[in-house]
Amino acid sequence: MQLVSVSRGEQERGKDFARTLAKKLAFECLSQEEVAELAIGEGIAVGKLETSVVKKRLLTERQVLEKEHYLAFFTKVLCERARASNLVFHGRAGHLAVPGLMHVLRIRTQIEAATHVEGVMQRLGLDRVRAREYVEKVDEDITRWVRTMYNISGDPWAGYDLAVNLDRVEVGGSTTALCSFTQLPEFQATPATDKVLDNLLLAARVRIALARDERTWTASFSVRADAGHVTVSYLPRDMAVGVRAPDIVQQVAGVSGLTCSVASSNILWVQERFRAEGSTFEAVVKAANNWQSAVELMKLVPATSELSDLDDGGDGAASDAVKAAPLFTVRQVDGGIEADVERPSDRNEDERDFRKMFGELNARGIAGSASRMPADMKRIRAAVNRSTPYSLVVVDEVFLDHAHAARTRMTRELVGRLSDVIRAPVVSADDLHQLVSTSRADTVRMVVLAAVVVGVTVGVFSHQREILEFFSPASALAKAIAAATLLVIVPLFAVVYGSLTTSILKRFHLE
Amino acid sequence: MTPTFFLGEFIVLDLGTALQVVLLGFIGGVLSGFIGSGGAFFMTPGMMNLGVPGVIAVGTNITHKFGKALMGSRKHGELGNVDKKLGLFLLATSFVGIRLAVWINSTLFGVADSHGAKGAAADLYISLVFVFILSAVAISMLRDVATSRDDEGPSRKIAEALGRMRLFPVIEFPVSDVRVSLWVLGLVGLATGYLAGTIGVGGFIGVPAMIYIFGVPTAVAAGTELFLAMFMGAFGALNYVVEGFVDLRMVLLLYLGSLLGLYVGVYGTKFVKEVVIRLVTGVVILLCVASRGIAIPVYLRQLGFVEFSENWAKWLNLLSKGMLFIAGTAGVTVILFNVVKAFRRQALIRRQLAETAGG
Repeated sequence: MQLVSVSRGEQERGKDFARTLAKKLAFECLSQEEVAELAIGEGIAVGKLETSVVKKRLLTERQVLEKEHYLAFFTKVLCERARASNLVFHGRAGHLAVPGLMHVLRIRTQIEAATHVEGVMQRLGLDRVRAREYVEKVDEDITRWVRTMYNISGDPWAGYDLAVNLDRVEVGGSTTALCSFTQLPEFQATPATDKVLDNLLLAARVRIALARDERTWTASFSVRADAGHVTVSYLPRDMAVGVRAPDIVQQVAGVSGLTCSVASSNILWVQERFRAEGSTFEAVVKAANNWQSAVELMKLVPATSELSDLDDGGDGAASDAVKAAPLFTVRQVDGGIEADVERPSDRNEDERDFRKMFGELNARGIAGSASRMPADMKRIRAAVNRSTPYSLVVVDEVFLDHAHAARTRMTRELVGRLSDVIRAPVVSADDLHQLVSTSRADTVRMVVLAAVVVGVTVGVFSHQREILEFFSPASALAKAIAAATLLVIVPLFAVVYGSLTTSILKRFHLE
Repeated sequence: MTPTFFLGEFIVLDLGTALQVVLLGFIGGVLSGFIGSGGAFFMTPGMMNLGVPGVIAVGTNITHKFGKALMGSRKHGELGNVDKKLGLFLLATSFVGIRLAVWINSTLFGVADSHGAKGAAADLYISLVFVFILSAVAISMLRDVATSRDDEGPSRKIAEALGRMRLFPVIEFPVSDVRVSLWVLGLVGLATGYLAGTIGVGGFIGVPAMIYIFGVPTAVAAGTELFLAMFMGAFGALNYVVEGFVDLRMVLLLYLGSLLGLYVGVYGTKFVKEVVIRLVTGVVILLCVASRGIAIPVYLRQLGFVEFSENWAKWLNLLSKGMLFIAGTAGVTVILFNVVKAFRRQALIRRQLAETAGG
């Protein structure tokens, strides 16, 4: 079904706009306030969470969990409503709650600042100065809320499909014009968008189930779903609680397979062809083990492919299989993602390798999630979940059907786009090898650093008196020389010894 | 054991003492990585317990901190957690605070005690400031742990009250998304610099001030503090070295332990809940404070303010040293125990996951 998300620059006219649009389109209408009421009914302290966010308080551990619960709940409500009927949502950047859903029409309504201030003056009986301060404060609070909740560092109001100035155009006229706009093919649901919607909904339901259960509500979980297969990741510090997750997850309707991983962070690996025998695989596994990370695979498929060609979802029998399974219910008969059903794509060698790769990761206990994504910059970027703590992104062998020059340029562009949304290094396979492996050059470097450290230490301790005299200067010139020497020697030694420590820890896989 | 001195001020370092300094650095580094502070609250009194005059312990520690902050600040900078504009505003007055602290410490160092020896007055002053400031920090941390309600974050009442006062001129800091009066910035910078220069723990004031008074996000406060510490450390080191109060030998020994310990401490934070981190920190700091408090009567005796036998003084010194050792090793043991336990548990879980997937 279609989904229109209206971000209200000013509440009253924004509401009016959204309701009118919904009425003209004969869509259902859902507001931020209604979602908040439902969330309160769910037991989430929305008011306190909002106060903490807008007043820039540090979120307590409990509030961080409530934030996760609220976001999952918001996603669930939006997805359920959007699946049942066409929907207009109005509130604060609702489209951010459904990342990767490409057919959402994102509209931002605005009014002139002077009009906004006058409206507040009339409504609240404030003078102009106070009304302006009030308007600015409310705008700041909303921006902060959106940034905090969705982990956005830049301008949260960028990237809309349409901005409507309600001072320039009337609600009636603009909504009538927009009725045609919504009919554009870009905003129509497709089997691929339905698939994304189902995945988001299932992941949200699983996260909510974990938040509701008294055995697991105290832990933070990252949940992904792909055609019924759910990946649940939790932090090492939550291990005692996390091990109970499978019991709860397998009770959620629609779950056909489950992968659990313990990870402090995720490594995102973006590639078109995955080979479990390759050296890059070993490097990724090594990095994941060293950093307690889970590996998230993103397989790029030609941009023209529809995701529905690749995924056909689980079925009832699959759910039963999960329920019968023991503690860690990982249904990986052939190491694949959804293994029961014979599909056309099974015959595809790349696809089999992809599944095998995920199976290998699973066998090592470091499987994060696996997804397929059309090789389209915008869709890849939109699919990245900003709240996932990534430690590394590996981009390799992408855009393979393009010529070398084009491939290089496009790869560089993809790296740039991913760097914009993920606060972690985005590296190539070659860089990754350098990062995790110890070459002969590394060994030589380590020996040289060790020699410098030993040399300096022995030198200092065999000339203690001279050095202490040098650093106890009497004349102005001696003081200046001592100060300059200290400012050079100390950071140099710190950097040299710090690099040596890093090299040694890397050898013991403890960096 | 009474230490012997080079050039009248610097202790003679035999292998045993050198290893103790490396151990001090390691424990300080582990605590520093775990807590996210500089570790001076352990290393400065530790050096004083080894017989290092307080002024030299502070001068040496601030120099050590300079190099360490240089590395940490770079990493925070890469993550976008450094508000350079805020750091530069705070730096201006922190230099005044450091200069003031160095002047007071140096002047007091010159005051001779009842036996004509120097240093006791400065040791007493440094210990008193240490006990006063760190008691407040530890008590507030432990009170937070004991009384913190899950639905409340740290109060922003001070930040909001200062915001309402609108003390002109007000400076905007876009990275931290805060507006702060220049006067408040000046005072906080001065206090941070003064404490960094006096006892080497400016971060214990700077970070809470940025969070509670300015309203800066925690990650940015920690990153900006490291940025600040780099320049304050450099300025403090310059000021102390021209007075002849930096012991380069000990700076190097501290690095040998602290940079390794730092990694262990940071690693530990992955496995331990925040409330445990705060609890361990509070208890360790409180024990460090008690250790320094026990040494105060010894300095008072040296200055002739109180009288008791030499034997008692030796016992008090020993007790002070023992308590600090217990504080450090207990803290590090708790951290290492949690790291090893969690590491083994994680390996077990991953094995179970792998077996289930394979089976």
